[in-house]
Amino acid sequence: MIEGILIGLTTALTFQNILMVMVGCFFGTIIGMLPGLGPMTAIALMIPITYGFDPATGLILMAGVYYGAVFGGSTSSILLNAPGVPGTVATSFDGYPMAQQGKAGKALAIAAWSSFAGGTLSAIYLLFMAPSLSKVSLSFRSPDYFALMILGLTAIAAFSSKGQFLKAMMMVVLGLMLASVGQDSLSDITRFTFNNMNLTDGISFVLVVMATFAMSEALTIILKRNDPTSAAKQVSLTELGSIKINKEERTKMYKTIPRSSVIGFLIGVLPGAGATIASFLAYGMERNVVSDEEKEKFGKGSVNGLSAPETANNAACSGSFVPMLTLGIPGSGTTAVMLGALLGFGVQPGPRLYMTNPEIFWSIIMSMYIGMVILLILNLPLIPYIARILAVPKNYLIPLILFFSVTGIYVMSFNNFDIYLMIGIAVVATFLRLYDFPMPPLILAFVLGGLMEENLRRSLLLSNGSWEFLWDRTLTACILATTILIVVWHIYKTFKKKN
Amino acid sequence: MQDYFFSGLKLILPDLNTIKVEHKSLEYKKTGILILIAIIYGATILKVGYFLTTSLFLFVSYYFLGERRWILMFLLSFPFVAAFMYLLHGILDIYLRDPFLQSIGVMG
Repeated sequence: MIEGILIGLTTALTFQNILMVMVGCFFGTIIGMLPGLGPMTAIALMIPITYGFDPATGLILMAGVYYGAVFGGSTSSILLNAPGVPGTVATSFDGYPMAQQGKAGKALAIAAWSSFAGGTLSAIYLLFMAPSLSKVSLSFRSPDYFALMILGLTAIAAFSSKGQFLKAMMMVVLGLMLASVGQDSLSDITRFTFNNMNLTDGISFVLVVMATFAMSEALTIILKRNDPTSAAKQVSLTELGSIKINKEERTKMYKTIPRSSVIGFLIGVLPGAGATIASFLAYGMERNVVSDEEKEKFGKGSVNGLSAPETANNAACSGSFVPMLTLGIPGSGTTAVMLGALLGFGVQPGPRLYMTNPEIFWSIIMSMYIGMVILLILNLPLIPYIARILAVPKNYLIPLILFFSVTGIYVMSFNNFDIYLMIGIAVVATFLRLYDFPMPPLILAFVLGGLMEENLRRSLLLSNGSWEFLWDRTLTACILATTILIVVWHIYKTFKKKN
Repeated sequence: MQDYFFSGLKLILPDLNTIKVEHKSLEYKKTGILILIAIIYGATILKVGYFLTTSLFLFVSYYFLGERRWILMFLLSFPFVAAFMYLLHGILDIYLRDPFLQSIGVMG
């Protein structure tokens, strides 16, 4: 492992790669800070830029963007009470009241230090866990992979749906349908192409991500421009107050950070769960653990209440890389986008990535940590300036997002059809968003669709067309049983809430 | 058969938050215009070239969204796209097709 860490460090610490982490963190922070735009949009917008790099550098850039965007999301939660992503909603519970009390600078500093500590601790957990999990995952066979993907899709639908499991599952099916367009990998038959040559190779992943995230988010912002509920209540962006944290606050953070980072990381590793659940759970747990006196302060600007979700949020981000890097199965929408980008580079993540491309595997882990350090060095002193970006008028923001999306597709395919298709999908996605259909399940299903079909067909071939492979191996049966448990638990929970 | 299936699903998995969309408060017209501009942009980008269409797309979109600060609008379209093109084409070596710039001899 020491050798691996050194390989990772040598790759990550080249001038170019450090520059990439810095650029990534910077742009990620800016994009993540803009209300409505989250890490997925930030990463999607960066994809065209990464075409010019080798896989390791490209991924390092994306990791930087990811962390930057998560941090940026916290900034808008604290200053505007307008979380850019669901993962930072819990941050606004105590961060925004703090900002209203004139301690916005302090709230941002606590958030930055907690994110840093959470990220650092989880990068260490990842360092120890990923290689051993890679070895375990070598024993996985096609039926297990198929079952695991079903589990991932069910879990993301169950966890990201905000009480609308059916809608989330519909999005999963839509994602799988989009993934099945094009030439079939085994028999070379073209499917759902309507005799259109442009669809023979299937729909590009970048196109779907750009359309469902970047573009449709931009269109939604315009569409809801006059919506009174979406108008942000603003804290003064010029008077943020001191960013110094005193001794008492530090002592509180020392206790909160370790426990929240463990929760965050473990939740992040689970497929489908991710940062949102991690931050809410950590917030809830922290509230139960602290003294009665501190409990009273929750929701009114508590240091523990701000530190816990921020730590867990960032720890979960690192945790979500575990299934992506070791099993090749992304657990969240964001890692799904990263997986798509990896496949685009010709790198097949999975247990073998650890052996065949150790430099990629380790440099991603190392660059995550470097990203954390840079984020702290870069963002903490710049907070007052960065905060002003929040005042960017939408009149400029929206056309720029559309321009980045179209450019992304243009440099990839030089094809008008793809641009039309992207606009079409974006319009449909905008309407789906309007009716609260969640997008992450669609992306995850779209990315996993091809792999899932491949594993299913391979399993069926090996078992001579019999479906017995679903329960032949204990591992497969266990994973499928967990899937069924999730569905049953979800139905039970829905009914309990409804009555 | 399908009817039973979907009704069954709806029964097992009811929506907890029913969504009511206030269509009147939504900016359909502006969104529609923006989509139309994007389609025109997509249709002309290959024939005319990246620089001119992108700059015009940005400029016209700013205008339709209600922006009237002409200098800022200009700066964030033509020079901005030129700088972005330089980043992609000049520094990152990503090919950008531009018949317009090629015809006037700016791009090789």
